[in-house]
Amino acid sequence: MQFIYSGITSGSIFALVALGFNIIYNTTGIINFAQGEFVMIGGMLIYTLLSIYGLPFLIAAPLALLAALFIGALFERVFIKSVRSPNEIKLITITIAASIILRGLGMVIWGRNSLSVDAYIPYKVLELPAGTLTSNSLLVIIVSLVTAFSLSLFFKRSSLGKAFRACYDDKIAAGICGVDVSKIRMLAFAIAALLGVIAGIVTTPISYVTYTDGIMTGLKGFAAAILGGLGSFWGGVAGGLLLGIFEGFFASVLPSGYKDAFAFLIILAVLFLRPKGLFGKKKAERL
Amino acid sequence: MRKINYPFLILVLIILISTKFLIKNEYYLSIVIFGMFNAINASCFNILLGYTGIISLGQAAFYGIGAYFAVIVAASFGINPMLAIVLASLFSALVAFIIGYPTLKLHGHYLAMATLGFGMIIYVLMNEMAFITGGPSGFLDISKFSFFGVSIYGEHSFYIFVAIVFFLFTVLFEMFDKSYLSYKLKFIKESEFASKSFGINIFKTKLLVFSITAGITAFNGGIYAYYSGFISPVSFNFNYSIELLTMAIVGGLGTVPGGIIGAAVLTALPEFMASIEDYEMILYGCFLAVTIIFLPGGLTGLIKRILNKNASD
Amino acid sequence: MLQIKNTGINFGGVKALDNVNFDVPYGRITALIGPNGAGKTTLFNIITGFLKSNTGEIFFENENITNVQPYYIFAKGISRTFQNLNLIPELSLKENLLLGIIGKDNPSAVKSILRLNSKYWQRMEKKIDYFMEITGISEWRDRKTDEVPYGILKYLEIARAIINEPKILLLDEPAAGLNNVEKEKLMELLKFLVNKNMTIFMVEHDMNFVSNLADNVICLNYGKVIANGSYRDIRNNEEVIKAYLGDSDA
Repeated sequence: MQFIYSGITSGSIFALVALGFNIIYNTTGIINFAQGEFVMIGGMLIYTLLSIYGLPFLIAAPLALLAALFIGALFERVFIKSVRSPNEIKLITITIAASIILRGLGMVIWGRNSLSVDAYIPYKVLELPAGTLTSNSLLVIIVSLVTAFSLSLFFKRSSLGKAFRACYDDKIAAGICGVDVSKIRMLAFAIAALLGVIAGIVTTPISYVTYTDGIMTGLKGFAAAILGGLGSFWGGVAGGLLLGIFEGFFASVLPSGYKDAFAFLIILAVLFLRPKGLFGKKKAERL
Repeated sequence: MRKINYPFLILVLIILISTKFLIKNEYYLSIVIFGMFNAINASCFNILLGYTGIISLGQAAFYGIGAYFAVIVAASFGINPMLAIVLASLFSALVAFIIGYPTLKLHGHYLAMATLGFGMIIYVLMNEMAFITGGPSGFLDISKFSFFGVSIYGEHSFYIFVAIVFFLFTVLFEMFDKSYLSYKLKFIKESEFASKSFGINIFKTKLLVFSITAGITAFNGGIYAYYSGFISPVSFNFNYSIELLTMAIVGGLGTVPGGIIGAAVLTALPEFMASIEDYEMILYGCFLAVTIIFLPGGLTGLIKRILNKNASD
Repeated sequence: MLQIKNTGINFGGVKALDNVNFDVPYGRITALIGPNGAGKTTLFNIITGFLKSNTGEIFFENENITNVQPYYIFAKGISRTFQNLNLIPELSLKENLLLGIIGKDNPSAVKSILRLNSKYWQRMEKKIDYFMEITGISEWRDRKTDEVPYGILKYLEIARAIINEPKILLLDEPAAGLNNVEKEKLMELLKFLVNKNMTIFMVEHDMNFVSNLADNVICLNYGKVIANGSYRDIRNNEEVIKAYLGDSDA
């Protein structure tokens, strides 16, 4: 049953990535192929701040988060805003280009090797029914849940959050009501980058970080997002956890190479059988 | 029907022939050969994306299916390489048809993700089904290549063979581009809405295009396998699909020279970048981004504009 | 010729069309009018297979064509234009017209690539020239669509819709964006087509246009048919007047 605990741990990461996808998708309708790269950058940033500059965690982490917001905003300005007469193909391919560039930057700045950091909290092993959970894993789960809750509060309560939801429902109407759609889009990317970096920070002590990590992480996060229903906040979280658990289960019975294929099977199954996912919102079926 | 661009075809022929005489160094010849393989693949990707609007992020898988099927069938049943390659091509078209049936009903990023998913699954199968494919360490049991009794081995004779295949493909592509078919596909790409109202069965057309390009790509893959003498899954992964995408876009979507120019530039690039090889990936991404943002017609569009300017002066 | 029976459709709780019943007679011009949001384009989309209706059936020449694929609708001889033109920018006017032909005959792909059916294409060229002439756009033949005035594009849209000689032509706001001279020319063209036994069914807002052309007028409001008759009858119909004045955006 150990796979349930490891599944929830990796699932929490998928959930954070899925949230990032959903936020950008909800406000802009774009699927950000570079979402996984934000996670990689998160890991690289915390490595640099902790291991190279030797900063204490309590200073390094907030710095990394701040950097994340900046990077996300910059990303939107450089890649998204600059596309004139955007159409679907251009938007899909520009985020693919962005992910290539970010990967390339990751390799140039941090090299090809896997990097790691020391655990942020003292290492302990929790004995649980039918398995164990390390303190690092517990941290991942808790941070992810806290992040998800805080984000949902932000969207429900704050006026900025309401502006986001207005954009999701109807961009043009939101614009007429005075919401600055362009700024909201920039903020959406900033938040998505923040989510990615948070995921990267908590996961690095456990599974190291390599410049190529972004691809798989992004794809699995996307699988989680559409499993839960593209655009659904808690659907993305649920999708992430479910994906993590299922993947963990299959990893325990099949040769490990097949494990990765599982997320893709999920993508295909959802797209063919139930495109709106488990909790997806049905927008008016038009043409 | 539009006029066939004979000057362009003649130019390609001249370049192919003169390359053979000018370049004696086998290493450089091999780069041109790889360039031609890439050009055919990128052109197929271009037909899918630039003409029909299909983003096939798993396209590399068909290249791999062609390569593996050809050499495995030849090794297991002892059939001659050319026949094996043809069979591989048909098999790949069949796989594409089966995959395409549910997938091509999707659109936009859903379609992109589904094709990506298939590509990844096939990649995993190539790696895991080691008893057939040799797994991550690759497949070595590749016989010598012969074409109807003529043995083809080494850069010089392979160059001639591949160049002939490439030229024939280019001629066919040019004829396709100037026929009504390219209009039909571009109509679909531009507006599925309108093309549906004018009697076009979009799904059937997309399925046909998808299957045929898969077959051509697989054919190419078979020849590649025999040329290489060794194949492994890593040549057919997601990264290669992205390379094809970049070549098609940078070269110019929806044009005949697009895949060729894109492949030429991006295959030659690493050679010039040998000293700053680490920056290759960044440069790749920047080419793609710059093209999308500033040059929607790609390099072909740029060249056309320059030629038009000169013509009107 | 075209019969709409009990057709209805819901959009998330809102009845966009409710029990719509009427016939479009053969060989005449019928106009569909009504305030914005009445459901006119929705009805067009249902007839041409782009939207699935929730209730009701549609018959064309006594064949049930409800919820059938758009390409089949086209094959049956029903052709339409769009409010936002859907022409292809990088292509010339002549090439855009070609697109109208392609779906109809489905010429063999292999023969076309190998250039074996040149006689067929010569005939098509003549056809294209003819339809450009009757819509008055011949002088813009080889220009690209972004180099050409809007009025010409509207004519092109119609030319594309009629080049395959449909039995019935559905026009979505054909007069929109045209100046008075262009509207006159369009009226001439539509009358010409009806003389050649084409049936025309159009959504239109321009009442002058409608009064000059329509033999038959149907008025929709909030998804329901509120009047059906000649222009004279409709013009004095209380319901219709209320529908327009009530929604007046003066």
